[in-house]
Amino acid sequence: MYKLFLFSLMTIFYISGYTQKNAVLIEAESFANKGGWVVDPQFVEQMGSPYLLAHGMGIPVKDATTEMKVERPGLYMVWVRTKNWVPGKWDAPGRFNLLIDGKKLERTLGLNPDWNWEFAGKVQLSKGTKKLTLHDLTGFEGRCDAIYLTTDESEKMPDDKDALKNWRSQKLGMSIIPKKTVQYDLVVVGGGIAGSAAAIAAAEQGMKVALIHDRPVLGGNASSEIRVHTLGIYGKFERILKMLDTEHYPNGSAEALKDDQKRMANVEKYKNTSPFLNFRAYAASAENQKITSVDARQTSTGEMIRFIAPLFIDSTGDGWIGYWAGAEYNYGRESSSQYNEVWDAHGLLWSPETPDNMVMGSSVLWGSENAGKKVQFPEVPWAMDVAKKYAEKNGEWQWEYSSNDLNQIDDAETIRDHMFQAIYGSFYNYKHPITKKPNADQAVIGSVDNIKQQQRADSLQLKWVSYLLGKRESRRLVGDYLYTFNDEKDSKQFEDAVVFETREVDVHYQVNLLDQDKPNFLSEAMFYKAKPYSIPYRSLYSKNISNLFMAGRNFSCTHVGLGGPRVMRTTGQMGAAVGIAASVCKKYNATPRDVYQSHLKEYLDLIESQK
Amino acid sequence: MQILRQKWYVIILLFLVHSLNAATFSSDSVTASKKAFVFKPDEFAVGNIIKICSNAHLLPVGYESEINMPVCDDKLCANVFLKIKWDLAGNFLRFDTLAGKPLTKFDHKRFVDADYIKLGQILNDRNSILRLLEKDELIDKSIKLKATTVDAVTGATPATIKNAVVEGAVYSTYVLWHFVNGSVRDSIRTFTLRNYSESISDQMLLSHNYETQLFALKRMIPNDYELHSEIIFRAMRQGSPLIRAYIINKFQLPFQDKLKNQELVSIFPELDGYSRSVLLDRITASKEIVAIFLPLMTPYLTLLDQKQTNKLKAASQTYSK
Repeated sequence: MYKLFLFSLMTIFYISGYTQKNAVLIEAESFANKGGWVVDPQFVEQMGSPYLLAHGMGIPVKDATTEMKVERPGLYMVWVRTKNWVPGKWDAPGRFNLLIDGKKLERTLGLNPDWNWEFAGKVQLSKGTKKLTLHDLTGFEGRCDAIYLTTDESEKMPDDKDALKNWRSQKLGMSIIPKKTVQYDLVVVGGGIAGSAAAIAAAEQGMKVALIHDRPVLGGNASSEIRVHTLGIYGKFERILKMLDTEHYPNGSAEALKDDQKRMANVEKYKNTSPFLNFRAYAASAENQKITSVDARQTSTGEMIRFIAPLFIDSTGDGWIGYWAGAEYNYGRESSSQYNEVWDAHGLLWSPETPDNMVMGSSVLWGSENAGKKVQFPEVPWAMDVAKKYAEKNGEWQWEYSSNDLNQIDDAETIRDHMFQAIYGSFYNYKHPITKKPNADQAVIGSVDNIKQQQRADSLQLKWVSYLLGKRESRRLVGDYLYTFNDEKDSKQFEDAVVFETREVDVHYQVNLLDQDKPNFLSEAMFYKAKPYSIPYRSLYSKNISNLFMAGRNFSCTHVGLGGPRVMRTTGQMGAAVGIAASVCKKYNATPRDVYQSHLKEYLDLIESQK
Repeated sequence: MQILRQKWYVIILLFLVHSLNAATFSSDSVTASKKAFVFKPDEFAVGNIIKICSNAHLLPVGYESEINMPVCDDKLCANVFLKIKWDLAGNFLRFDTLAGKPLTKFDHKRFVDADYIKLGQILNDRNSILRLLEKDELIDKSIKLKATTVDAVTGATPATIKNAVVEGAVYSTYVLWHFVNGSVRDSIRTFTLRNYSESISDQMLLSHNYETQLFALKRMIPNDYELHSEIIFRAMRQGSPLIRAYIINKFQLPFQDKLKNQELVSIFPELDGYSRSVLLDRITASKEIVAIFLPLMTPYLTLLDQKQTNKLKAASQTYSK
């Protein structure tokens, strides 16, 4: 038996060595010079890897380049993992070429639906260093996950998610278990406002904190990458939250950039907090309902680190840490009768009689500017199925997409791409208005000057379009207390209240629910004016994972319960509250639940002293 | 509401339903009106007579009220005189001015056409921000405006609510919105229920207002959905995605009448994405339902997107074991 094992082992080494010399796998996100391409790590869990995205808003982006080593000369088949993100009766929107040492391979890429390996061409390569170039042709969201060169003409690359994962590990000679291990008192996953507040609050209490975040800047939805302003009140944590929040500029404003700088500078002041930017968590290990470690991967280099700690905070928004660890969670809209969350004023729009998946949707913010001269915008036939005749020049929070058939996590790429179609199609329509006689209402309200309108549209160019989804709602981890609309409506008093809010309970619905002819990418808000309300600490730790806190939109609540506290100063309060709770856990070697059961007064006093 | 019908009754009723729906509640269609009740909630100083209107067939079609209402506290605006109309579920439809009584704005300036249009749009918006505001939030009292025709001053309209009101007629807009969308709705509904009949129900089911349709749907028991499937299918066809999904969820599937299963599926091409999704969820929910409905879906498979196709495939595999 042992001989058989040795034989198998040797065979694996032989094949592995052989394939590595006769094949090269390059992860696109690891390109040394990314040019105008951006790393998109949002959909790793669905399609397998961060990828490079040619996000040029209609203008082809600069080439991305890198070098690779060829060990054995030969005739190589070159494959590229890519996707035609809007297949149809038009030229694929995201086309690009691959060049090796400046020579373009024969086939244009980005043509086939779904993530797949597209054949780029054959190339004779000598031994040595070669230069790879990704050359974008459209500026419309072409995408490249990986490039694979092999001398084996018959080799089939896997498409199945799990098979692909194993294949990648084998080709790259990497285990999925990190070699590097680090230890902290507390690991916070997700560097949005909630996670950042948690890191600061815990660090102020003397904890050694790791803050893992998959983007280069902190802030999440408030960052300059998504640009949603922060709403809500400060509660007990004004000092901490003022280090992180934003001004009340319009959503989508470039003013978010200066708040990024403020946020980063403030987090970096805490020497016992280690931000791991551009690291995306991909696994959490748990034993006996307790998390032992979280693994994260650098989104460009692939470097993997295992984070070990006695306590974890899930501020990923999508509740990934809880999900991987086996935490109970909810998704979707509960029936109105399940927790008696009826509000007659808005009836079914507020809360359905039958549970469904129409959660509040995700937004992609965008805007245009006057270029001071005539600017062309290409035809986008692939966008018109979504945009239809809708015309717009910028997009605020109402640009939001949710569908009963789409999951905000599993189908996030589809949702983001749907918003791209909505944006590019609507902008095209705006620049090419259908000139028509004003209708009776317009004629009365104010004359429509078609010539002036056309001149203004001619000079408009897209200024900024986010490529990151600004999510409102997805998985909600279940805590010891499930927060509902009634807690807001009745201003329920909690002995363990740690988060306080006065804003309206604000739930969205897609406007096409009431009129199918309206765009399916726009929403409307319903506001319930509540008296001041609070959230109990028991909604901020997992019911069944003993060392897991949650802060952010993935806290323990119902769909409607989320309506009030989902904004970022409020989620920031959650973060600060659990950061401080973690320090009490450390002091007494206690669990989050123990803090409620045995140390509540001390904990609340500690919060009170934060002002 | 289980009412057994005879064939002749159905025929007459269908004729009437064709000629009636909320959209036909126009001055032309109303042939009679009579006092229904007096509406006098605490927040309004004056009571208003609400009349119920009927058409030539003596069927109720809606409500109206001629109001004479003070709207502001600072003596700068005149009373509002209007005729207000609601449908049978108390949903505001429109207003008409009364002869010689135009609406006025600050300083007694008359409404222009654009003001009337804007007021109509605001009053029709049940989701208006006015729902949230207190009266004292309507005016920025730090900015004083001097009236020329009256010896008084008032404040300016805060920028945040300018779109939600007719400028210069902030109080009028506010008071009218709360009047036409407020508790009068409940009072009207109560009155309608007192006189509720199948003909009223059918009329409401074919309304273009989803809340009116819902009012009638919520008064049906599950069996009614099959029993009255003809009008229910019509309501589905013309209804919003929200109403269609509500109806689909209320159906007790499979229908006892096999032809009705077929008829339900035949509506699929006319449905929007949301109600298609809900219908597919319903017809893939159990082995019995899958066995009946999946074969019926065959002509429509080309209309399905990838996710929907996968849903049917999964159901087919799950229940064929």
